[in-house]
Amino acid sequence: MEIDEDRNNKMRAIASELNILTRSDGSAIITQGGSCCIASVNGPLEVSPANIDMNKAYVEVIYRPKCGLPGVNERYKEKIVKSLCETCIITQLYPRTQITVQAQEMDDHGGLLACAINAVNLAIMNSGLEMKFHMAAIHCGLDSDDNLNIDPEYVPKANLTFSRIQRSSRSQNFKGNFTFVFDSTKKSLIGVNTDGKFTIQQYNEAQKLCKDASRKIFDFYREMVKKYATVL
Amino acid sequence: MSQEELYKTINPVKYLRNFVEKSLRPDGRDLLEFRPTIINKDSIATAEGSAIIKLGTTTVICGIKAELAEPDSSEPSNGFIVPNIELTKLCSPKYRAIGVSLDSQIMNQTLYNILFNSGCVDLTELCIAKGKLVWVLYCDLVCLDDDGSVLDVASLALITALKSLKLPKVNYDLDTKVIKVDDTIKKGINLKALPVTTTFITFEQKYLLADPTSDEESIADTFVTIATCDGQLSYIYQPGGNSLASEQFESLIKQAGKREKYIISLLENIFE
Amino acid sequence: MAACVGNSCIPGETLQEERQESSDIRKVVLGDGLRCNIVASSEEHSLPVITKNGILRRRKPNIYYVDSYQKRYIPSKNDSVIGIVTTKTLDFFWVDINASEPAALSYLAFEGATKKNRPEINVGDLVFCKVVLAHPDLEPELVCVDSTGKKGNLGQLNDGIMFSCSINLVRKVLNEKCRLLHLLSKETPFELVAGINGRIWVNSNSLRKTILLRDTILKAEHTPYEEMSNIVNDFATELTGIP
Repeated sequence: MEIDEDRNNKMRAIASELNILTRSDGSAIITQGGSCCIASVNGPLEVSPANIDMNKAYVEVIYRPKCGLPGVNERYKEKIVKSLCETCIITQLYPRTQITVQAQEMDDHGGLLACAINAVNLAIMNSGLEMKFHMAAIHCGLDSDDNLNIDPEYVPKANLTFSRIQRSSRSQNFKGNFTFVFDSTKKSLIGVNTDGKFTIQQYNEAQKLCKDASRKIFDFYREMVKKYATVL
Repeated sequence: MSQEELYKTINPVKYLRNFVEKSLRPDGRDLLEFRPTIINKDSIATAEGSAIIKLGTTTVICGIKAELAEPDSSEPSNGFIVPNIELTKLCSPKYRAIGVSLDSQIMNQTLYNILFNSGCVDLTELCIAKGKLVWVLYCDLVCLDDDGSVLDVASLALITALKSLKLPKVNYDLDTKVIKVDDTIKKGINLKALPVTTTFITFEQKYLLADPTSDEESIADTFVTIATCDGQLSYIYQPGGNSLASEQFESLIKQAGKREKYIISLLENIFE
Repeated sequence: MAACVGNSCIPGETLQEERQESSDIRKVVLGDGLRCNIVASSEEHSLPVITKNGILRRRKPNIYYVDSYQKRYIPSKNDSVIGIVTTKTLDFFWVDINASEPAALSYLAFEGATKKNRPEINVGDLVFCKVVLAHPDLEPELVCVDSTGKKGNLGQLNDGIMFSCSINLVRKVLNEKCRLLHLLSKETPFELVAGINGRIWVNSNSLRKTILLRDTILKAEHTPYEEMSNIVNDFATELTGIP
């Protein structure tokens, strides 16, 4: 299903499909403008003795880049996605098990971390794991004229740099990048990651804009549920 | 084991709650008070730049080794800074004993983000001859004792070590490709900004605690890491967990700003 | 936010049904996808919260549950499941039931089984059994007898084919509203065992027919109840081609 671009809200068009992988317990593909990400969720599965937790499920997140081998930057993103998954899944219901989440970048036109988080949320939703709430991630860019752009689209240049630690995938057009994650019940902030330098006012304003925009993603999730619930 | 220790082992959450309800922490601090900070620079004689930072008992040592290398062809006038932190069983039993741990990989990326988001170092300053020769700064950090807030200490150690860095003068002959290192003239690099990282936790959704110890970290609802420089924000990170009200967030930013001023004054004292 | 019966619901919404119909009975039974007190210090702690995505349903007088999509099985007491025997130990068969860990099936949990007279089941065999113990902290336990010690429909499944599907499909096939099995049985005689763990076993007098049955059942997953007769008609047409 799709939601068309709304000029007033400046969000890119979102399209998504659930259950695209036949073998995973839950899977989803989402495109936001030109950015695209696939996520798959498996679980509860048997857990290896090293990771066993007597009180809750162990959540493993694998984040795969669009090209090349996963590096330190991917580990960093895995950490964010992992703690977000632990927040939205009621892991206490599945003790001594493992939940494996894999996110695969497909195409990068900006805001890919937000796109991946949204894909993971849809995949968890599809897997039937019990959740506390939905989460919606929104990307916001601060350009050199100090204007905030919600969910901006950019066409990346071929990245020739290869260093041991990858520079965070920052768009050259923006001096600041924000990724905010909100929950669906209280619409409050549950995760932030930022990039670049900005003032407190800019940060607060970006958060407010993204909070308003998150409504659209939550509406989208609800439509998805409505759509697939018709064949139950 | 004393009664108190026993209580702490059996019910760590209630133990901390009893303290925090009276606006006090088990180690006698106020909720938003930091542990004493000790900064020592030039601690390693063989390194080009070094620092030891202690925050309470959390200790991180940083040594910078400078090497010469050919630059990346896509950025011919940029040098390299490679932070690498070691988190081993030495500092805390929670880390894996062998191999590069996931925690240290994540912290390396975080340190890198904090350093470059603030625009602290201009990599072109590390250039000796464009496209031919640049400095590579291997910033090796070792955590000797992890009693919480390692990231704050590690980033401060990195910044202090960079500030104390003294690089020898290097002459590169473009025709003969001969490198001459003049050890008598040593020069530091110009740091454009000094990002200061501050970690907070929330406990039981309503209490905000600054500079958590590892006991407090283990029962925290969520972490918030804020890096500030020159009154601006350069890094905000909250990885899920419980949500914070916006007033709570604003008060944290304010606290981080205060902390920045204090740390900067400390650094100014040392580098006078 | 409140969820209404018959509508789609998402996690975090609260159940706020008017209770006038059941005012004499204050108790509400919460089924799959509804929980109380998931957040310890929530102000709305008295209201049940939805934890799954799907449609909120109510069965009279006051049983509420969420109809949701799921592939992975989470053991629950009294479920009938199809398992594959993976290991034999001294006292137990260990059976894979599509859950996070294998389930235990005692040698003695068969009709007429004694210490000396053990059931003849080997690794790889299919068993249709009931879950008698399902607790998140323990491995699930299965039996192949009912409370009176009779085997009833339970026991080993021979011949036929078993296939995996989503748990929803099994629920759908077993639903009274779904006329699929009824319509199919008019076309051809067959045996079918539906395990609520997302496994269905079918058998008929020819293998090609069995495979055709499997395909028809899998097709039902995305077919609304009213259109079941269409896929059965397709099945009937295909069936004529089989000798």
